[in-house]
Amino acid sequence: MSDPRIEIFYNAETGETITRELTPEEIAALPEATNDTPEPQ
Amino acid sequence: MAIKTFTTGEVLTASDTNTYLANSGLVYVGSITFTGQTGANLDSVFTGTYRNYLIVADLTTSAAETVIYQLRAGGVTNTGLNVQAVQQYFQWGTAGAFYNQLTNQNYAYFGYGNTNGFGSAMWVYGPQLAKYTYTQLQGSAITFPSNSVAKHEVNTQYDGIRIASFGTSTITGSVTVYGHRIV
Repeated sequence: MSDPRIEIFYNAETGETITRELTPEEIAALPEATNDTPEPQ
Repeated sequence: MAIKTFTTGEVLTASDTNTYLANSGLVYVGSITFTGQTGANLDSVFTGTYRNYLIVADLTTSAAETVIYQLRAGGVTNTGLNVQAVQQYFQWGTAGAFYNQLTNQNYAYFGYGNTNGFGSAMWVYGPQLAKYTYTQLQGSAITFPSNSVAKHEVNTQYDGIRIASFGTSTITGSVTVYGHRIV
């Protein structure tokens, strides 16, 4: 099982900052590495 | 007139403040400083108050890693494959430039980091307007300094941005958003 992705969330309107794990839905929506990933060639 | 030179003893009035300071160009919108996160999400930073924005970041990644950005709307990261991007990057000590390209993705380049850090400054053009959003980035880094541009081919009105490592590295540093005031 991979390590959880923990990200920080800041809302400029409320000034609130929270840190939490990404939900399964958010993880599923992450970009996938492809042949045109931004890794310098 | 957006500039005035005040003389000794002259009174700074409310009108002066509203006229000359409010027309100051870049206006602070929000900022976060964080340690050891795989991504940083900034919401409600793009509003109807400003048309264009400047994002300034000073970041370090826990390992050599590409850092990307994705636009967000209503607290949700864009998943549509509507982003086209081109990156021109350099290698210290090597003449000439190199190129990368992204086609139909949901992210674009934000920088290339490692434990020595990197800095990126990115203009975001019209994210709150119901039209395509364009970005233009300049980044300096220990490994691959770069320039890049991206277009978001969708009319979504974005209000936030996610900056994240492309892999599993964590990011430490700060991100600040400024609005560009139009008089």
